[in-house]
Amino acid sequence: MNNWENLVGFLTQITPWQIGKVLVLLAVAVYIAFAFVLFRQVTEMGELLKSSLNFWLKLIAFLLLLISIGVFIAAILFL
Amino acid sequence: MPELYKAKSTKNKAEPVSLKLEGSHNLLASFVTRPKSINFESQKDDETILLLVRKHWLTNFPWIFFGLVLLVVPIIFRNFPAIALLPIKFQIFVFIGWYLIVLAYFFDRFLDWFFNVGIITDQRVIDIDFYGLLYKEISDAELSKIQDVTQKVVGAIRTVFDFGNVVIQTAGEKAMLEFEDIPHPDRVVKLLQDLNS
Repeated sequence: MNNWENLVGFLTQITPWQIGKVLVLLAVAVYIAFAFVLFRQVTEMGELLKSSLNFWLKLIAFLLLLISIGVFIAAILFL
Repeated sequence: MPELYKAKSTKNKAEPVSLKLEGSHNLLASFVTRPKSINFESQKDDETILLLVRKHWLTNFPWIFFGLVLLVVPIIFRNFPAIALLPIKFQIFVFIGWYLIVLAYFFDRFLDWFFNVGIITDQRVIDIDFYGLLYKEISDAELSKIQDVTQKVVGAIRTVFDFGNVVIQTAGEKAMLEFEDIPHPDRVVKLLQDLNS
């Protein structure tokens, strides 16, 4: 019973902005997964069709992944 | 069994006229003749790329235009009540998130254009298709297995800017290869006919 009261107490303390923060974190996590798939795909495409531009494309894909991880960390710290 | 007689090849080894046609060597071009710094995974040591084609640059206009519209959306909706009511921290994250999505959209569309190529070598034709991020299809056919080559140029824009589809019927495992919206389809058809003859 004590646990139940604790749970109710915890739920009533949640603010809409905390829910917003969780939603933002979820969205950015999905984006990180997408950026990772994009990076893998660019690597795979680059192996299939090798050209001198592949390095730059991989770099862009990697930066996109890094930025998305940075945004995730920033969302945890600042929201 | 020893070989009693071997007929001399009567094939004309001279380079077809169509191979001497001018084209760009720029890797970002849609019609790249004899690309020097490109090779593909299954390329043989004695195989030379004669032509690399991808969709005409004009086909990129719709997604570039749409992407540019997406770029200005936050500026237009900056004072939209649903956004203006959010705390400033959330507003910043909404804008960052939006531009990350736009960036990914531009990059994904560019990759889609850049890696969807048709390659004609001195031995075969290769069609590399990537659909989205998770599906790829690579088909090839030896030049000797090409049965019919057709070009389709439909509509005023394609006629004016000289781009269209080239459909290659083959006797290979995959019955048909198609290069979509490539520049100068007539030159590609002529090249394939010359190589096949």
